Amino acid sequence: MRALALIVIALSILICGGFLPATAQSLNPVIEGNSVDGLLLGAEGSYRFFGWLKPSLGLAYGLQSQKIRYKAGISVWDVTLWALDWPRTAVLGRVGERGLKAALKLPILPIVSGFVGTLWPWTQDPNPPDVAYVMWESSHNIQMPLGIELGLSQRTLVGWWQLGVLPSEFRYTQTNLSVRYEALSMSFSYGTLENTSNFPDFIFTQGVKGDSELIRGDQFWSLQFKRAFDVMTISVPLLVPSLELLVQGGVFLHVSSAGKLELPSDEQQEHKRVWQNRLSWGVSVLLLLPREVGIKVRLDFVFIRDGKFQFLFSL
Amino acid sequence: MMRRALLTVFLWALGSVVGLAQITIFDPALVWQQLETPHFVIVFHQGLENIAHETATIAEESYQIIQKEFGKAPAEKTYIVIADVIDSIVGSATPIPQNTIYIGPAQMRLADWANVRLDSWLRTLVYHELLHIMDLDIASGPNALLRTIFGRIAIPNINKPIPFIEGLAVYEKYKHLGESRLNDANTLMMIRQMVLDNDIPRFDEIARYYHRQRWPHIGLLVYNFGSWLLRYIEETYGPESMKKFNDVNSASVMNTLSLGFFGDNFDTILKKALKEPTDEVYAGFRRWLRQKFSAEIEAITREGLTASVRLTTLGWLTRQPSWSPNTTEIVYQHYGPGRTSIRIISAGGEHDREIIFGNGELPSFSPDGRSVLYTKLDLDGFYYAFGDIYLYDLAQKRERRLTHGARAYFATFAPDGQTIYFAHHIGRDASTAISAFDLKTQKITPVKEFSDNSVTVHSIAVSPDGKTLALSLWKRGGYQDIYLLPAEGGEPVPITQDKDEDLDPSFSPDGQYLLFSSDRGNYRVANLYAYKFSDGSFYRVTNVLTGAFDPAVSPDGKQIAFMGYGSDGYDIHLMPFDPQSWKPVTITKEILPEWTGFQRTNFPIKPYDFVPSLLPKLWLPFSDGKTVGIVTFGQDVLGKHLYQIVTGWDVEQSRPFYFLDYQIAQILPVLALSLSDSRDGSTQKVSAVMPLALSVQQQQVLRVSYSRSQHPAKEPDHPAPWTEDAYAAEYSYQSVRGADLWRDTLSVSVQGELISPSDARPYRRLTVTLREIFRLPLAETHTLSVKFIGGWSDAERAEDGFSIGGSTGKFAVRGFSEKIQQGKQALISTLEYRFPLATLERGLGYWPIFFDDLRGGVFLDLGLAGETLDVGVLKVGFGVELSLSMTTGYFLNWAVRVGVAQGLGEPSPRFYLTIGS
Repeated sequence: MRALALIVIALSILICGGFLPATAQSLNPVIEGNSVDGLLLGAEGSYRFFGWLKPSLGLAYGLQSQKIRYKAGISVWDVTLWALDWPRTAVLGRVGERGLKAALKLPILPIVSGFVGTLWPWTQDPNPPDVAYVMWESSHNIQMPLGIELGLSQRTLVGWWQLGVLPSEFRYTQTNLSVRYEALSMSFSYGTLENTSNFPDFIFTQGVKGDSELIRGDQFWSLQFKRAFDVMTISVPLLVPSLELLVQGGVFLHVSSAGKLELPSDEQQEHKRVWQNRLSWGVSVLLLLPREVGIKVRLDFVFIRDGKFQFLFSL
Repeated sequence: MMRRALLTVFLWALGSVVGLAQITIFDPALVWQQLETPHFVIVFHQGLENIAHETATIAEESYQIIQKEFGKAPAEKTYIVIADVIDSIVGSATPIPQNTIYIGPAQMRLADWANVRLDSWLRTLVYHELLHIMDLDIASGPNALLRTIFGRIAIPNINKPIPFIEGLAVYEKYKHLGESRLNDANTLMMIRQMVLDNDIPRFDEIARYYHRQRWPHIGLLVYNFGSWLLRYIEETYGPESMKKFNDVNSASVMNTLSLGFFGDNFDTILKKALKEPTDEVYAGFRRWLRQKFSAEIEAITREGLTASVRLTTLGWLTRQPSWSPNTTEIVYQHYGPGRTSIRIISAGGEHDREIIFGNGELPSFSPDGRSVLYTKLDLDGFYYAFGDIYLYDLAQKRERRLTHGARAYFATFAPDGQTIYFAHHIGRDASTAISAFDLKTQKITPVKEFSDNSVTVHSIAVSPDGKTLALSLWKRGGYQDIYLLPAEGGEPVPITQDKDEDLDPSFSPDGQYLLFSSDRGNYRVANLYAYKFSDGSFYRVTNVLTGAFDPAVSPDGKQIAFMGYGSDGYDIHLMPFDPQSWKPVTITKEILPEWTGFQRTNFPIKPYDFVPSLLPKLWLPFSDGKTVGIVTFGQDVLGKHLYQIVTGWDVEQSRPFYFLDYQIAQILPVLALSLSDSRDGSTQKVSAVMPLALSVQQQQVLRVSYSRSQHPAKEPDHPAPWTEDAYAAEYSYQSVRGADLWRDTLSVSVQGELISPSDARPYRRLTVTLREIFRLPLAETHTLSVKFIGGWSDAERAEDGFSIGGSTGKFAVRGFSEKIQQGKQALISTLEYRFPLATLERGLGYWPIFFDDLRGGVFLDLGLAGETLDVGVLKVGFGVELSLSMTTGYFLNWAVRVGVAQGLGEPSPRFYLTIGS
């Protein structure tokens, strides 16, 4: 009912938007896929009124799940409240979440958000648990001279499940460091989690480009290196006269490693941390039409750790 | 104005263009002919017939003078190749594989690099390069016998201090033609400043090419300053001193045997020639300079020096100040250690910053102050590098190319902000013209064409009312003067007309005066002068000890910005605009000799014959104990055909062997054929190279090849004779970008191979290499480099895959032994920081060895190879490195690197030594 009320409020404000002094608005399509909904199609948008009130609404339909997904929110100054049934959740190993969510976003300070609700069911867990969590997220970008950009982001989540019975805690922290200079980027991520209450599937899952095999663990690190460069600009005569196609080349490397504790065996008396790693590298070709057209074609020739290679195409 | 001694630096700054022009083949549309004289074969393409005839006359005249001077002359005819493919000053000479001179007819701003008092710009070039040929060709005593036996591998005179090569050419030009860089305002000013600073360079500082950190740059030292050393020697030790020196030097067998890598002791040679040790000769030279120039300094100072404020501080080659319309800023061009750019500085001297990276030339503000106009050389298709006009939007920080293939080398706005007047080349015989470019319509309208090659436009200024152009023009006979021309065209009217060098006219904002620089006067000091339109009177605006160039009066009419000269090179100076303080002078016009056009010779012209220049001219014997043989190589003078032959006898196996490489560069792609037969088997290979270069700052090349080889049996891998077919393709890319001292040099190559051995399964290999070097904005020599190499193959045998380790090679991981890991795949990553430790710049006595600088480095190497790439067995090595840069012989720059690396998990560190560039 609370969710329904929020949707009604958000819809009412959006509909009445034309009569109020709206100062900004956005409307974006939703085209994405997830393992529950398959392809999800819809739209999301927001208005800002008086400079301090911002209702937002997202509606989408999952082709596989045949469900309507929604995300209705109201932002008043720095506080936002959502009622949602929407893909993506900060809880590891899960696809989406349904419930109420609130976030406080103050300048400089980390974003603090909280959620109460139910995680989406999926094949391995048809009876999903009710959970609550609190999350701190911080992100800093430092512009250095010469166009060098340093980035540092961190996320910490503390959650509880078995809410009605015996609330049990689970938590993780994830840190990302990045350096970017024009089309050169390097990033390093590291994460660690605690799950003493054995919350199902609460584990880091890592993979690398071109390798479908994933690795899991309660700790992980990941390193990515990408370098693109402009090869040439080609005028496309059959299209708009001024339309120019930019051809970029690229080289990339992606390494991920996940570690988990192995139970004591006959030979060893203590827990032992076992690390698995994945690696891929390769070359890319990017075809970019001007920003107004917005078409980008990417071809990747990827090699993975066991020597197999594959050709990836994305539009 | 830019100084004439800029030649070397200009070519260095545009080295990639020139280099590229040499790599890239000539336009197949060019039809080549040759004109043969008694001592020369002049090769040229269509449009250059007149230039070829003039060259023939000049070359023969020069030949007679130089032959008399040296008492010797080449036995064979010298080739002179004239090609109009680049808007840059091109003149070079090589004695190997045959005596050949290359000339580009584009003369552009001649006064920037040559003494304009010579009657013909071609004479300046041809005499200089021919002197090199006739000097380097000399082989005396036992070397004459070696030349007879082994051909042109015996070039002993290539091993002598560079002033005795380049300075010699400048000096001999002065000695026999009366004018050269030796006695131009630029060189005199440089030496005057050295004497003022009591900082005359040591002999070892001027003797060879190296990466000099201080002003004057090495080009000025070896050419201009070096010519004075030779003048002193001949004036002190007799007019045949250079001949004597050459006779001794060219008889040194060590000079021949060391092939340019080392050479004889210079002191021994000079002592034999002059009967005096070099220490004493050079000490005498320094005393002579001090005495001579101190007297000049005193005389100039006596007249009272003009006070000015130095605005910029970077020194080196800082030129072409142009005011912003609101008088708050000045845009200028700068070339110095680590910097090649257009910069802006506030009129108060603050906030000096780079706005345009790269080789932009001669900048000026647009009348609205929002843009900067300049010219720039860039590639024009596959075969040419021409200048064009560019406009840089200061707010959007974006460059816009206004013309394509205009061959422009100087541009300036008219006051209307819509019209751009520019100087450019027309035709192929280096004729120049002035045209107007309309910014709105993008149309180019000719204003004045000097199509008979009698006039070269140097610089243009537009009057405040936009109706008149003031020009600096060079005319045949050696006259660089100031002219006025109606903006719509007509005949130029001279303001000055004499042998003095008058350059860079600039109107005062009220239109009453025309300022320019001139080296008139007793000591050839470049000063600023002014012409008053109302009464035709002239004034000397400055009296400086060194030089004043490029005047620009501020839009508020209060100050003059100009290019001055000091201990660090050129800088922008400011002085008050005060006509009351100027000294009236009288300038009278001379009568110019009439240019009647090119004189045609009677020498026959016929189609270019590549065969005679292609024939082998040298034979270098060698032996490694198991084999004896000879090496020869050759190319025709246009580089269309090129070959190398190594052949001989395998003593151990009692059989002949050969390696033959042949390249044909008639059209793109360039094709090559390699054939070999030796104890390791025989190979036949064809390859094609296609340059895909799009601009000076971004170059790309595509290579493909096929080879077939037959090998004898070799246990254990090949128990029977086997053959191998290999197909390969490689794409390589390099770009350079930067901002001020910051540089980003990116190199990427992707190489794919398909190899099919007869005794194993065919396999593929792919190697991807990425290397990026960042020069940190701390100083010129701090660099951080990142390297990534990936290798993949599906070969059955491990040795056909990749191995990592060792301290050299593509897949080196320092701190580990070679082949520490091996397999179908490999990855390497290196992070390295290099920094300067000490500038040495010292020679080892008078031996041809010179220590340039010492650098340090720290590095981290990561490597992984195997059937499966398991990060768990990653090899990590780290260490430090010392690098000593040196010059041996007088040209060869290289570095010795000594390092120590520790591999993680290795019991002890490993030391290594490498030699490289």
